Amino acid sequence: MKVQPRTRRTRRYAALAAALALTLSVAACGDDEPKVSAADTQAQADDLVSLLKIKDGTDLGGDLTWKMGAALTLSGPSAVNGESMQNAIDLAVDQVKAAGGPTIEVDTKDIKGPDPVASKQAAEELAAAGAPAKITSMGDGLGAMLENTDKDKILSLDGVGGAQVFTQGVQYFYGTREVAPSDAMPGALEWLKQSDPDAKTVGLVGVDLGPFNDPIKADITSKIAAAGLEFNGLWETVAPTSQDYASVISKIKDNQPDMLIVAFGGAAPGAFVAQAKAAGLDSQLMGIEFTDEAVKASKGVLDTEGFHFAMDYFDAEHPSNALADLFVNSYEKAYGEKPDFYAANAYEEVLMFWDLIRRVIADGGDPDDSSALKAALDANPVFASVYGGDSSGPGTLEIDPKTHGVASRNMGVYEYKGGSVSTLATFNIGAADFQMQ
Amino acid sequence: MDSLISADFWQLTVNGLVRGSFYAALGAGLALVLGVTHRFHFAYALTYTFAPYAAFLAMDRQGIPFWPAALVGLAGAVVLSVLIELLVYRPVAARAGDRAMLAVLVTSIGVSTAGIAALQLIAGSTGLPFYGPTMTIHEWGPVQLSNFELYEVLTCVGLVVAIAAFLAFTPLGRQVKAVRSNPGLAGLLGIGVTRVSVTVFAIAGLVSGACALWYGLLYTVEPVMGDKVVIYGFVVAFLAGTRTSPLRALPVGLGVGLLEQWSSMWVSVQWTQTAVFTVLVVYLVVLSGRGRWRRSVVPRPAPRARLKKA
Amino acid sequence: MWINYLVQALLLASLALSVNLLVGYAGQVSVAHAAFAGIGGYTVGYLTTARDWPFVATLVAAAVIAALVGVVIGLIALGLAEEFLILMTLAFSLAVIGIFATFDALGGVMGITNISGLSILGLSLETPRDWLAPAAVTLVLVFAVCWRIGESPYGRVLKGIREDTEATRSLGKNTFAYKIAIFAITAGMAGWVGALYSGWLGLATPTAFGFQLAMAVFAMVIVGGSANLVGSVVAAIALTMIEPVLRQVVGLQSSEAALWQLVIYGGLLVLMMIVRPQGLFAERFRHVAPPTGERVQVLGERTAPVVRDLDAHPVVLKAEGLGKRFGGIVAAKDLGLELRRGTITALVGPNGAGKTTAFNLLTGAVVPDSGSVLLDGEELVGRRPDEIVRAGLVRTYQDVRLLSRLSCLENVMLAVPDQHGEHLGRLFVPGRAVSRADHAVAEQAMEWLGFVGMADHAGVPADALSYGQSKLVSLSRALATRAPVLLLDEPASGVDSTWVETMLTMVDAVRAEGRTVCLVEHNLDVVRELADHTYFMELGEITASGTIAELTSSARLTEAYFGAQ
Repeated sequence: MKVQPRTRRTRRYAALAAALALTLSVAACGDDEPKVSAADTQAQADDLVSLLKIKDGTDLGGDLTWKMGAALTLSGPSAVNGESMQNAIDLAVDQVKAAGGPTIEVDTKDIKGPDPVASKQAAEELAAAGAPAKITSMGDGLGAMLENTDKDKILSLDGVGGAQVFTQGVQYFYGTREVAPSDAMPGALEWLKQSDPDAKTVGLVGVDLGPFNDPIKADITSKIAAAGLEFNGLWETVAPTSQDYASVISKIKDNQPDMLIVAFGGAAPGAFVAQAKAAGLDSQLMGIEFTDEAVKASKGVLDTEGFHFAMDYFDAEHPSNALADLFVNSYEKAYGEKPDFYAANAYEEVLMFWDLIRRVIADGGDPDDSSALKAALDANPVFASVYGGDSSGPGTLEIDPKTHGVASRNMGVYEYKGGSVSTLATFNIGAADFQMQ
Repeated sequence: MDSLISADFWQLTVNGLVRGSFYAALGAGLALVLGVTHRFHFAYALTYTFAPYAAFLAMDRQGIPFWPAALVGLAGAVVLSVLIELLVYRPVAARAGDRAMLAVLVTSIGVSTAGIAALQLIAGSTGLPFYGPTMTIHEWGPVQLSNFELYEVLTCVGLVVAIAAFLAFTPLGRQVKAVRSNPGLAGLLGIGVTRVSVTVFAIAGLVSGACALWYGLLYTVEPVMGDKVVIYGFVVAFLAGTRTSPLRALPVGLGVGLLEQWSSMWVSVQWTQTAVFTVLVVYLVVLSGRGRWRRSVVPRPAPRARLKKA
Repeated sequence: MWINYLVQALLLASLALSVNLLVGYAGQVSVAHAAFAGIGGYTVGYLTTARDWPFVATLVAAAVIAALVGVVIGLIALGLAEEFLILMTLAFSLAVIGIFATFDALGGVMGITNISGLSILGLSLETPRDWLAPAAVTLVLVFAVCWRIGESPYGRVLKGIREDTEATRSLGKNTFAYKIAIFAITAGMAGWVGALYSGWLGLATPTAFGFQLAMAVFAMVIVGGSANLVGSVVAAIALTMIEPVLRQVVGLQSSEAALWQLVIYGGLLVLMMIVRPQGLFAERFRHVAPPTGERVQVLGERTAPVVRDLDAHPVVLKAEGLGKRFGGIVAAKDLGLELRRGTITALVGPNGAGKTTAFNLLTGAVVPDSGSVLLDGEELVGRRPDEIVRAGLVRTYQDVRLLSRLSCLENVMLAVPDQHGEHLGRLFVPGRAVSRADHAVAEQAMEWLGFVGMADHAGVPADALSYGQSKLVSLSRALATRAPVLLLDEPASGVDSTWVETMLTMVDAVRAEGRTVCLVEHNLDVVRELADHTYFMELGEITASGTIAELTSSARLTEAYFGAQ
C-alpha cells in the first residue's frame, strides 16, 4: 500500500478511462425510434387525416415547431408503462408530422417510479424548457408535480392515473382515462348482479393512498349501496412495495365477500390473485387494471384460473374503431408488439394536443400559449379516441370540465384466461349504456 | 384478551414461522460475513436477486428445466458472492486499511446499485414469470401451508443448522471460527484468511440464493426484491450476534417473523413493517439502558489485537 | 435546469457536512440523518400547510425538534456498541418515516405535496433561482459550524472519542456529554437542511427521506473523505451532478438509458473506492513546527535506588475494602492500599491476580460492589472516570491506547485539562480567544513531550510510532492531565531493553516532580529499581506488602509468583 507501482496506478486510471468510454458509448444505445419506413408513415398519416375528418383547408400547423413535455416512469417498477407511452408518443409525433401537422419536439423526463424528487426535478425542468403542455402520468407523479403544473401553467394530460381525488382543483391538469376504481364501479356491480343474482356482499383490497382512502371508501361504499348490494366492511389497504399478501389474505378469509375488488395496478393483481387462489379464497375477484406484468407475476394462475377486471381496457386484439385499428397496426409495425392501454392513451393524448393546436390556430391564437390551449379544451372538451366507436371512424373521449376527469369513457368487464381477453359487459360512466355481451 | 386475538391467529402464526425461518437463514448468512470479515455487505441484496434471475434466464433463454435451472441460479449466486469479495471488497479493504468498514459499505452500495441495474438491462425491468413445479396446499384445521412454504422452512432451518455444524465439526469451519475470534492470531497460525473469506462469502451467496429461489417461487421475482431482505438480514444478524453460533439466528428470525405477522391483528397490514422496526428500536433502547449498566460493571473485553507492534 | 440541481447539490452537501461531523470526526456511525432531515421536512410541511406558520419560524422549529430527537438518539447511542448503533439508527429511520406515513394529517404514504408560497424575510421563494441563496447560505453556515467544531479543541475530543472512547474518558473528558451534544448538533443541522429541502421540493414524503437518501449522503461523506469537510462538499456536488451530466452525455431519455446511468453511478462508486478508498481528501493533521530553541533537558542522571521512608510521606490515596464479583468469579476481594505522596508503589503478582482490575476499580472504569477510594480525603467511588481524572487520579494502559489517527502532539494536547475551546459556546464567540488558548495548550503539550524526549515526534501520527515511543507518549499524555497521582500499567513491558532504561529514568523523574506513582509491573528488576513500597496480589486479594526485597525473600510468595508464570 505504501509503495504504489506505477503500472498498477496506470491500470487503475485506465479502468477509470474505460468507464468513461463506456459512458460515452452508451450514448449510442437506448435509441428506440420506431422502425417504420417513411412511405409507411406517410400512408398512416394520410389515413389519420381522413379518419379525423379534418376539413380541407384547415391550418394543420405544419410550419410550427411545438414543444411538448413527457413526464414518464422510465425507470423503477413502472418502467414498462413509461416505455410503452414513449413508443406511442414517438409514433404519434411522426404521424402528425407526416400528416402535415406541427413538428412536435418531445422533451422526455424520467419521473422514476414515481419518485417525488425526480418528479419535482422533471416539473422544474419542463417549466424551464418552456413547454406549454405535457403528457404526464401517475397522477402527475403521485401529486409531486401538481403544484408546478398549475404554477407554471403546463397543460397536462394524464392517461395513467386519470383525475384521481388528489388531483382535483389543479387547473391545468386533466385525466384522460377513467378514475379507477370509482368510474368503473357501477358497471362492475351491475355485471355482478346480472351474472350472479345470489351475490350480495362486496369488499375491497387495495393500495394505500393515505388521506385519500376515506373519500375513496365513502365513494365506493355509496356506489355499492346504490347498486343494492352490501359492503361487508372489508377494506384492507397495503403498501405498494410488497407483493407478499399472506397476512392480508388471512384477514380476508375471515370475512369473505361475494365479490372482492382488487384495487391494485401493474404486476400486483397477478401476484395477489395467485396467492389468493392458493389460499383457497373463493370470492369473485374483480381487478381494476390488467397488464402483461400481472400475467407474468401470477405464475400462470391468471391463465389457468382466469381474471376478471373492470376498466377502460384497450383491446388491441379487437380494435373497436378505425382509429384504434390504425393505431394498433402502425404500433405493431413499428415495435413488433401490440400496444397496451398506456400506449393507447398516450397516442390519444398526442392527437388531442394536435387537435387543440389546430383549434388555437384557427382562432388566431398562439399554440405556445398554454392558456389558449386550455381555453380551447374547456370550450369543447370532445376529442377523437381509440376507445368505443365503430369501424367508420374514431370513438370519442369527453372531458368533464368540472372534475377534469372523463365525462364519457367506454369501459367494460373483461375476463383474461388462457392468453386472451374476452368482453363480458360494456358500459360507460355511472353504468350508462350497460350491456351484457 | 380474546378480542385482541383474531380468528386467523393460527394462520398468522404459521405465516410468521415460515417467514421467520426465512429471515433466520438470511440473518445467519449475513452474520457470518459480518462476524468474520467485518464487511457491511449490502450487495447481499444483489446475490439474492441474482439467483432467481439467473435461474429464469437459464430456463427462458437456454430451455433448461426448472430444477437444474434453479441449481444454475444457486451456483450463480455463490460465484457472484465470491467474486464480489475477491474482485471488489478485498482490494478496497486492503487499500483502506483501518477505514475498511465504511469504504466497503459504500462500495457494496455501488456494487448492488450497478448490479441490479445490469440485471434489468439483461432481463427487463418488470417482474419475471418465475415458476415451474406445481404448488399444492395442505390444510390442518384452520391452517394452510403450501408445499413450497414447507420446503422453504426446511431449506432455511436446514441451512442454519448446516452452517452451525460446518463451523463446529469441520476443519475449515474451525478455521472460520478462529478468524472470526482473532484474525491476526489466525493469520499467524497459518490459517489462510483468503480461503476463509471466500468460504464465508460462498456460504452467504448460497443462503441468499436458496432463500431467493423459494421466495421467487412463492411470491414475485422483481428487481427490488432484495431491498427489504437485506435490511431484515442485518436486523437478524445483529440481534442474534455476529460472533456467536448461527443457531441463535433461529429464535431471533422467528421472533421477527411472528412479530410481523401477529402485529397485523392490531394494526393495518401495511404498518406491520413499521411495527417491527418500532419494536426493534424499543428493544435497542432497553438494551442500551442495560448495556450501560453492564458496561459499568464488566471490564473492557480483550484489548484489540496489537500483534503488529508487540 | 442546472440551477435546480445546484440547489439540490448545495443542500445535500450541507447534509453531508453534518453527517461527516458525526461520522468522520466523532466516529458515531449513524444512518439516521435522513430521518432527521425528514423530521425537519415534515415539520415544515405540516406547519406551513396546516398551521400557516411563516417559513423562517418553521425552519427554527425543524432544527429544534430534530435536535431534541437527536438528544434522545444520543442517549440511546451511549449504551450501544458500534454495530448496534448502526442497527438502531437504521431501525429508527425506518420506524420514524413509517410512523409519519401512518398519519393522515401528514399525508399518509403520499406525504405532504402542497408546500408552496414560501418566503424568507419577505423574499419569495418561487423559482429554483430563488432557492439558490438560502441553500448557499445554509451550506456556508453549516460548513462554518462544522469547521469551527471539528477543527477545534472540541473536535479534538470528538476525534478522541472516535479513536478510543474509554481512553479519551480516562484523560478527563466527559465523553457522554460530548456524544449527546454532537448528536443534537448534527441532528439539528440535518433538521434545518431537511426543512429547506422540503421547502425547495415543495413536498415532504416518506420516499423523499428514505433509505436511498441516507445511503446517497453516506456515500458522499465516504467518497469525499471522512473528517474532511471540503471533501464532503466536493463529493456531494459531484455525486449529485452525475445524474444530470450523464443524462446530457447519454443524451436520450429512455428506460434503458436510465438503467445505464445506474450502472455507471454504481460502477464509479466502486472504482472510486478502489482507487482512493480513504476518500478524495484525507483527514487534516495539525501542522506542527519543529521545536525551536534547545531541547528542554529535564532529566538528570538517575541515582541508585533509594527506598524512601514512607512515614515521611503523607497518604494521598487510600483504598479500603474494594470488592468486585463478575458472576461467580471474584475479581477483587477486600482490596486495600495506600499511596503516599512523592513515592512509587508497585503492584505485583502472578498473571490473573487482578492487578489491572484493581486499576479499573480505582479509576472508576469498573464500579466496585463495595469499598471506598479516598483521594485527599475525597470519595471517588461512584464518580465517573472522567471526574476521577479531573479530581487528580490518572492512569495509563498496558496496551498504551494512543489515539492512532491523531498526531503525538494532539494526543498530548487532548489531555490538557480545562481547555478554553472545549466549551461549545465559546467556539462561536468572535475573536481569537480560542486559537490563542489553543496555542498555549500546544505549548504545554510540547513541554510534556519534551519531558519524555519525544518533542521531535510531535507531528507524527501516533500509529507510526514504535511501541517504546508510544509508551513514552502515553506517559507524557498522563502527565499533561496534571493529575498528582498516576497509575502506570506495565510501563516497561514489551519494550526492548534500551527503552526500559529510558522508561525507568522517566518514572523516576515523575517522582522527583513530587507526583505519586503506582505501577503494575511484571519485570521485578524494574520494581526493584523504582519501588518504595510493593503490594503483592493473588486471586484478587492483597496478600502481602513491604519492600520488594522483603517480598522476594518469602519462599511462598516466590512460589506463588513464579509458579503461576
